Amino acid sequence: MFNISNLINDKPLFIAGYSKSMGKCNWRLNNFSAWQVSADGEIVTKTDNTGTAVASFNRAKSVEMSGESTFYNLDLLAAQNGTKKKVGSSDNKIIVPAYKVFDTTAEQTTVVLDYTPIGTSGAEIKYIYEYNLDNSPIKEFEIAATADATHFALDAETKTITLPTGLPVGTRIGLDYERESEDAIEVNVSAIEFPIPEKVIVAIKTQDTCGTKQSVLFYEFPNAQMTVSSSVSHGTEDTHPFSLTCAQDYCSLDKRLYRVVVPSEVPADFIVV
Amino acid sequence: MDALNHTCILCGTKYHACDGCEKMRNWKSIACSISHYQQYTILINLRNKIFSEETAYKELLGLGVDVDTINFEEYADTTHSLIKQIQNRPSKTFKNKPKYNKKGAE
Repeated sequence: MFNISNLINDKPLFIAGYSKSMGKCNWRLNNFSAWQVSADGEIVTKTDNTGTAVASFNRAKSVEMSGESTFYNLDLLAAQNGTKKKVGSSDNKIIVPAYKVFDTTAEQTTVVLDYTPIGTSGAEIKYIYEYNLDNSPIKEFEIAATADATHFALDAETKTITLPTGLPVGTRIGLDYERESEDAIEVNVSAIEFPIPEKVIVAIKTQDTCGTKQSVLFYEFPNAQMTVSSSVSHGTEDTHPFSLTCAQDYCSLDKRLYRVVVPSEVPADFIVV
Repeated sequence: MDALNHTCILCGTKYHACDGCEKMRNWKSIACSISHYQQYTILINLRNKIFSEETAYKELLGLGVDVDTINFEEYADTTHSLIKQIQNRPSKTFKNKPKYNKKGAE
């Protein structure tokens, strides 16, 4: 019989969210830290006519969990915003920003873009700019049917820009445009989409206090919902924080908030993860 | 009054178009009317050698624009070279070939 009470935490293995209706995995983090689960509640106290407590009752139990994905995770970002990560394909291309900066050379009149620009047909790029040497724009040129001193022309099909006339050699030109790519991914964060409750499982690698047996402690939350509020920064050492509010499984008889499961055995390769 | 926040790519007239609708990528972001946008696309098809001068002339005529009697003041300077290219189309040169007298003068 396997019956232990004390466990030593080794490291978190994974946290994953599953569709409650389909059981499909929506997101999974295999590298996260600072994970914690916290419970809260209210104590309602009955006092007598002198103000002395007679009895106290616990009410309104609630559970929240939070953690930090070690890496910026697009599936997590999608889950936090109630959407899905979109993967581009040949018939489902994704619009991608593109840019180009170059210095004009002697007698240069055209430049070929790296990608085919998209936009209003005939004016896929509306402006190009003369840049300072620090790449800040100082003068704009507008698209036109033909190039002159203040206008440029664009043939999107051949990706060719005819530069404004009279540019001194070494003029730094910069331009931004949009292109389509089938090799791109996108997470579209919408103001009208929100996370829905999921079943969430957390696995923590543990060992017993004697150090003789490794196991995995599973948390299972039947009704956890991503919190929309989050703040992400993109320093190299920064992490991707997340938090979930865990409601009771209201339609179940035991009104479960979560349960903890510790099997006596798990596959060895599972622990290595 | 709405701000005149755009300049027509064909005639250079200032006009208003909703900046928020630019993502729709329709003609309003670059031309003051659908006709001017159509004329512009004909001109750049000529520039990009997709249309011949003759085809461009006929396409513009189909829009009610006779390039031979066009008022250049109504078109932006950047279109003039293309319009002149249509006016000097080979077929017109052939049909209206000047007659010379023996001295070489018309």
